Amino acid sequence: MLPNVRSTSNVLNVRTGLLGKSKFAWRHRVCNCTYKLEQTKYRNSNGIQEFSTFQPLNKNENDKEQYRESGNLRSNGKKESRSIEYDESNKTNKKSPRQGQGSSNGSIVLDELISHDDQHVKENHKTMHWSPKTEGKMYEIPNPLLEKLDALGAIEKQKKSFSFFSNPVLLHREVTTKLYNILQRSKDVGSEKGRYVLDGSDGSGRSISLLQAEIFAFSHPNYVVLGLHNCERWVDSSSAYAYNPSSKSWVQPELTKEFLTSVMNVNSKILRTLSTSKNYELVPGKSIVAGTDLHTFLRKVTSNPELSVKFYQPFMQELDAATKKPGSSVNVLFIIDNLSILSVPTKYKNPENRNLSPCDFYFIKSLYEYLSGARSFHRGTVFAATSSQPRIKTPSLDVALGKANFDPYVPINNSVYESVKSVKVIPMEPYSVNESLSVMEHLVNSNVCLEPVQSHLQNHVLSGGNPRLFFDTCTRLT
Amino acid sequence: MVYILGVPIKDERPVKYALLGFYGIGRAVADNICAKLSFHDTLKVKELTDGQLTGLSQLLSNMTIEGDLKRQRDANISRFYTIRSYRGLRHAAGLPVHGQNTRTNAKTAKKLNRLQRRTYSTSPVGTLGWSRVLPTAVSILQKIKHIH
Repeated sequence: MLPNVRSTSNVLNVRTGLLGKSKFAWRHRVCNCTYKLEQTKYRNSNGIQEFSTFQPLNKNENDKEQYRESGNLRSNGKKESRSIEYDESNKTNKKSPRQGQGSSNGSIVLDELISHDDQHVKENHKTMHWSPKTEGKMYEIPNPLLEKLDALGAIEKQKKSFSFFSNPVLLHREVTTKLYNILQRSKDVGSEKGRYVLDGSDGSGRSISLLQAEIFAFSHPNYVVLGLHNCERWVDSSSAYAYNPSSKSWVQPELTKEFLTSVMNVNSKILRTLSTSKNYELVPGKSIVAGTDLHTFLRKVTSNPELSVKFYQPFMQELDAATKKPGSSVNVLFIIDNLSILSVPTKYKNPENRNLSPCDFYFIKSLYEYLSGARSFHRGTVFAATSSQPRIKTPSLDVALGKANFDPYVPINNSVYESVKSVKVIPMEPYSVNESLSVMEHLVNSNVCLEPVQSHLQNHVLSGGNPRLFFDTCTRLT
Repeated sequence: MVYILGVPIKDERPVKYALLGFYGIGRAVADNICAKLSFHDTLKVKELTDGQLTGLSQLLSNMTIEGDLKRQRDANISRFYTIRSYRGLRHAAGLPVHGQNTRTNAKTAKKLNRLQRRTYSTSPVGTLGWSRVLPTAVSILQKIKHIH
């Protein structure tokens, strides 16, 4: 973190000019000061380290406490020096600056980072626990689950923020506990009673909460996860589409094949234990007999996009049948991210060159059927989330979720409204102060944030508790 | 490179924009064609199946584009002259037809307006052009041959 400095013997002289020109811009620069860093032992040991930030005035080793308690500003307006000593016995060395100093004395920022540089930073992220006791704690996503989430396309948008850290880490929030409680209660509850929509402002953590629900499901071997992320691809006219006279709707073979392939890949273990209840004829001469495991069923079906469309609904019915079997503990979690883009007219055109409605599509119509409860799993949950990307107006969804009133001048899609109006809404709350503190600690420990941990209150206020804004506030360099 | 009705179309272009290469097809008509045939926006010419290509060719052959459209345009101009209408006379005189100023400007009309309307070409204005000289030269040579 420190810029490269020249050292002569044990004394390092660092000028603020050099610091000011380092690639990390300090929050508060100390002008016209010379820093003298005395390092008694080699870098990685826990030796006594003295950092005197100002020369030569008032440098008294016996008055360390006095320095710590004294004010920051001198009578001439220059910022005062402060020396910090680290005791050899203080191995944790979690030095926190005094309250109120973080914003006015830049040397404390420098000292903290210098001290962090030579200390062992331990990132003790607990493993996942599903109880409310772990609220406010950070937990790491295990690599196998991360690969599954990537296969579903669930972390496309999060990859940028995850790249700041060595391992992606999530915060257990109050809403996370709510989701876990819902999923734990869904052992005996069908999906028609377990339909929820996560709604909130921009950057409130809806997609991350869905991620956490998926992580819960993947951690339990009896869950089948049907994850639909990046829904923009279903409506932006980037994939082939055709009219199917038998279903009287429009089908998207390639996208349906991709969805079924991802389901097959991430749920391979449990799908091998489930079997079909009847025969299916793929093509004349080739059929899938009853008793074939669902993984093989999907493998054959996804060999051809047309077959994927034809056997999508039979697959879902087989899943439902699997949940109904006596003695079965199979549970289905259906995740729909970015419901907003699925509620407005698509970019696809009908032969009259008019934009197609999302409910005109076979697959999207089935999503709304599961959301409305017209179709359901005997044991399952449906979680959906609105999204602010891309920025569009969603009048049908707003009226259905109760965020807006009927406006006679604004046409709404009745199918969308009727499907979503009976869904329960989980509002996304901003961070609490404790949650902000946990995130701040993690960011500081990961050397992503240059501020002291105590400034989490300031950042919490500045961001209003919004997770995305909080992250941006903490990670800004100036 | 794909040839549809004799017009070369690059493979890498989306179909929606490749159709603009036809004389007589603009953006609106191209959108209509793609909607009628259920072509999505990012479909490229090289991704067209044989059936889709056939359907596209069939649809285009039923439209008045390229040579048919040019002949229709020329026929309309000839009719205007034949009935001695104002518009026909203006075409014949190589002057603006729609009431523009001729005291100044009118360069485009003077360049392009003809009974056999010209389009922009690379041959310099005012020259006869090889396509007009050759038939006359051939007929003169034939007459000389007969005399001898």
